[in-house]
Amino acid sequence: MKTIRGLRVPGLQDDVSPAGFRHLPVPERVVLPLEFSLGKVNPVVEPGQQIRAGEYVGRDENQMIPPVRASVSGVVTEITPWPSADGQKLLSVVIEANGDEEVVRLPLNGNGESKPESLLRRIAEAGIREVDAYAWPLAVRLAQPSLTPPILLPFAPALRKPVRYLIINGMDRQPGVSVRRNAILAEEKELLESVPLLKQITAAETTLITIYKDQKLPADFERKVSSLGAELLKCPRTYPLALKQGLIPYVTGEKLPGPNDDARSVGAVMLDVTTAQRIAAACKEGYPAVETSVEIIEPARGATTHVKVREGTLLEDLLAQLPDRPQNPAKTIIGGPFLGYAQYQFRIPLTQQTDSVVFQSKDELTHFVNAPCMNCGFCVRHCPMGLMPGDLSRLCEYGHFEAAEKAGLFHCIECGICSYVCPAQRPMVQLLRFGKSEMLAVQEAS
Amino acid sequence: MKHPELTVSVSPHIHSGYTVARMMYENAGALIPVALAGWFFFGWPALKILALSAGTALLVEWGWEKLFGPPANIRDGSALLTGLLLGCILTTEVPWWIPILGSLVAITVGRHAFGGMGNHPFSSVLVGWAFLEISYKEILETYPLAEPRFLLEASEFFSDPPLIAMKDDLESILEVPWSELFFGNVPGTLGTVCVLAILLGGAYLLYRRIITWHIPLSFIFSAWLFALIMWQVDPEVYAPPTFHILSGWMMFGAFFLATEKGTAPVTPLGMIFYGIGCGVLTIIIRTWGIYTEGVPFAILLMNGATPLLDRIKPGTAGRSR
Repeated sequence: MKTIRGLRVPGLQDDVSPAGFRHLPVPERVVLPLEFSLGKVNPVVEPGQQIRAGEYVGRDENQMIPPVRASVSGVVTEITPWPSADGQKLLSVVIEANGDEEVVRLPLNGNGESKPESLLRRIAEAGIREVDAYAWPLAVRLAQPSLTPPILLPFAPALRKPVRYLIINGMDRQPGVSVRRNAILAEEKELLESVPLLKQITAAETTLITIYKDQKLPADFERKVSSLGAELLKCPRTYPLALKQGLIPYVTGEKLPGPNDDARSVGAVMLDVTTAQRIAAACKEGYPAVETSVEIIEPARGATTHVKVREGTLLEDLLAQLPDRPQNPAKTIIGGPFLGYAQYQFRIPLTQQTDSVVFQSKDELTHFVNAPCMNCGFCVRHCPMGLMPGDLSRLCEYGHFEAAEKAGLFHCIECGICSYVCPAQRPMVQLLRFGKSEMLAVQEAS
Repeated sequence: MKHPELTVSVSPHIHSGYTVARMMYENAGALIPVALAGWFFFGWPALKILALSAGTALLVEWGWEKLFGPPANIRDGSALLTGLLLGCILTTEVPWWIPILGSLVAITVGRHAFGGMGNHPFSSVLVGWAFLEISYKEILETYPLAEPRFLLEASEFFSDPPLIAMKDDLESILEVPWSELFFGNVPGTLGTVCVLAILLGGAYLLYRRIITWHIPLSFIFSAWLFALIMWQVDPEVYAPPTFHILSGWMMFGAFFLATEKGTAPVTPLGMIFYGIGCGVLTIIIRTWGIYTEGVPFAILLMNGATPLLDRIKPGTAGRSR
């Protein structure tokens, strides 16, 4: 095992009480983006068309990118670019809901269901999307070499390697968020059901469920997990250990070639517990992934609410349904305090890639300062990727982008630790992102 | 619908709350035992010197900020720290204008001429001190006798600082118990004599993680090892290693001067090499140099090597570079 450097951030929701999920009624309207970091799907509906929840609204011709399914029943009103949580405008399908809660199930065809091929096809069809950004779609990553479509192998030789480690990650991505810890407590059954399925699909040598050392678990959880042939791996509470760039070296002892390469290149598959639960729901009950769990966090009041909503619910509509909605937030962050995106409005669809929304009050706002780097070395001490963020930030600040690239700029995973610890309060992540975007622009132009 | 009341910024959206000012004031707080030891052995003039140097440093920083603006900043405490450190490496015998002149040079030439905090290549404290040492050698090297306020008796072993005694007559230091050096009951500069007080302050710096162990430990250990080798070669000519690390500015330099932010490397391996360089150079200068104290020049020389040492990068967490 290989621990990474990082940071223990004390006090941010260390303890999660088993709050469970609050299920909210079907919203009046949903917005379903069709574009993702992996690629985009083509719309298969037209404005004015009636649709039922669970039916396709967008599919990929090559069936590589998971399809988009309607999360509510109703009428497609328009297909239009819509602002997304990360500040882009993505082609999206807007559906006016008719209030029907029924969801069309995936076809379950009897006893042949337990074969890995059909399980894999079902996972690919269920429309499951993940919070973490991975290089390949879920179904591609999970497939053992014999199940991998041969057409992919020339592009991704790592898929030829057998899966040594299957890692089901129950640790939250960042301090201050408790989505996954809550999911383990609230939906233990689905998680345990997913383990045999995943073992069958990946043919993994070792199956691990990673948790924090002092995490609250359902009763007798460890014994149930080991009876399924899996292990609980108790990890320190270091951020960003729960991100793949931290967890893969920690479990396998091998570094990823580059921060964006997939874990399969070192013989590991990683997915988080909420994805595993969606897989179990799709395979056991034929329930397509049309819901998303979102944590509403208000640090000022110490309040956190876990809700389950239909995918594509607008933040605005979600807030209107909450009895104790946050009052006058000064900052609204989708995606958590370290990795999230600040929003300028509330008409943002909450998708499966969203796990949390943080509302900060005016007193909690942090201010970056245009101060020089004093070379104190705090960022070097904590950088999980072993970079020298202070140097990189200066290089980017003064326009030496090539030098920054040589010093490892593109190994930065933007975890935000350097900004968090910087005593001079420099906007470290912003400077590094600026350098990356400039370098990408140069590469595109040439 | 736009919401003008919503603040938008890049991630991350939280900060540890640990600022430069807090670091500097905590660093200055670590000097409290050192200042008390100065008062204990040399009386009220010790505090007068510290007040003069710190006050001048603050005044100069304030003036610079008024004239030229940022990055000069009197509120971040860095000027206070520089002033206090400079006071610690002066004797109580110096006239009132020595700490004032030293602070003036440290803040203006040592720091702001190079572009302010974090950008000066050489320790601003030692730049101020080196200016005084070169200009007023006689004044700076007049050492008062240690006169403990209570508990301890005035030492009968030394009339000069231990390092001068070592150069004059190696025999004379051999019978001195190490405890004399450890408690600091010897003539010398006001902040550097008491090893116990410096270790207390250094432990606080380590505890607060303002500094890491790399520089002080490699500094002291490499000096000890190098002196041990020389001592093994010929104990008639060279002083014992423990004498070297307990005397002079060794401890103060390792914990407070060599670790000045911005002038020391930041990578673990770089810090260790930097410490080794400081330690070995110190013993070389002390043994064969014309100066009695090697620490300040060793640190200034290694400050110059810091940009090179910072090229020793930690292993990037990816196989391809």
